[in-house]
Amino acid sequence: MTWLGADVDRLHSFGLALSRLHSELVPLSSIDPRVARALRLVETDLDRVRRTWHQLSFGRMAAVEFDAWGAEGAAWWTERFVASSTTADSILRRVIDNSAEQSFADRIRADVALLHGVSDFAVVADFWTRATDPDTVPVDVAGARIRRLLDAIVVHRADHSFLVTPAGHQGDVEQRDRDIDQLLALVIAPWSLQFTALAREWNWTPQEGLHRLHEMLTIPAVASAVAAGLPAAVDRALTDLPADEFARQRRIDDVAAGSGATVDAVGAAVLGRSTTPLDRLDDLVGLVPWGSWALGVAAGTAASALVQRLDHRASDERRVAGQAVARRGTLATVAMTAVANDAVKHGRIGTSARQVNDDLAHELERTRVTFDSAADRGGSFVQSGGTSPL
Amino acid sequence: MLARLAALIAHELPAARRWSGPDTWRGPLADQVDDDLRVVAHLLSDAVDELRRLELALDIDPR
Repeated sequence: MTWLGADVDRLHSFGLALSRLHSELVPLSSIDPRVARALRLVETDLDRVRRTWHQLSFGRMAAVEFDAWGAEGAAWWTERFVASSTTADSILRRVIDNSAEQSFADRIRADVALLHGVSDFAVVADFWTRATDPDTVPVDVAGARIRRLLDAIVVHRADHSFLVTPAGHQGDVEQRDRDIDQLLALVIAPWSLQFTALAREWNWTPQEGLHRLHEMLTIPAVASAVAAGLPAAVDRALTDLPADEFARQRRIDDVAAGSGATVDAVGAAVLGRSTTPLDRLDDLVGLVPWGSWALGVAAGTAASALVQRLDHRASDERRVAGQAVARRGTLATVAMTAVANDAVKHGRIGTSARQVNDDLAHELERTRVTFDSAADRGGSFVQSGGTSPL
Repeated sequence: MLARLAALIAHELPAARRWSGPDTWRGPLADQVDDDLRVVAHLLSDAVDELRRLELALDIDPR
């Protein structure tokens, strides 16, 4: 079992309070079997809190040690080429052995040193995929980690001329860059909607999210993974929908628009160029009201029919657009299934499990239509450039 | 014994439960501990009720 986002000071106080409770319970445990059972539970929980506090403290200290190594000039860069086992290997191994990955992932700042300094990249890849796993890591925690990772990689790739690679090791560096691309694909794909319509969940402005998505989609492995992972991302985003009907509909609209924008951004990346200049995209996104991404996109862009767009495209564009149509169908099905599952889970299906009530039937149909039309709107948003009425 | 248990329910248990929550930590382990403390509260409360009933019965019928 895992924990996340722990506060070391509060955890310390929690441990003290549990310890006092435990001390008071010990002499009373013989008076009633229920008290004895309560004591056993408190003992187990006290042990859990102590172990977590240890993991948290260990991860923090390891991060301090790692950052000191990673910040020391360029020595960390060359260590991998001259030693079979590096300082990064040693620190990361200790972190894993002490189950301290969570706090280490939150605390390290020398992300590039971790990616390039560890000898066995599979260990780093495993560390990062687990630290950003959407099945176990909350949205905000994963967001903080991934944003930091991407920022570090972008800055490093923009200029690392001060890092001198020893003769004969250029191939190693190129292979590591390819490994990092594959890791980025694994890390980003489950979270692609947080780059567009759900950007606020990561405390990103819409501009930041879209800029980062465009940057990352220039990496072919990332573009493929994002396209392949989008149905799962949509399914996850439509799980545990709000109980309030309007909030629920807005969530569905947002996810639909975000998935449409993502499909089109992938298409543009596959074509090898952005169909919308980034400065123009800034203008467009700047006019979208904060907090109502989908509504802003819907109001601000012409929802041109996809078939019209197909008629005016070159053959390669038609191929990509055709793939987008196929994806849209898949996404609409996934979205309807997710909404239906959520309705069953939260008892909105009606009085009989065999008969879908009218409200739910309407909601499912609206979801399908929203994904069809909003996907096109999301696509228009990315592709519209000079044709938008904005 | 009963008075000590009642005092524990009134003071030590709420103090511990105050620290158990998302401000301190999150995730499956935190949820499990939170659930455990809820069960502990029920167990101790039931135990106190039962002990009070027994005490009352003894008062009424000392045999």
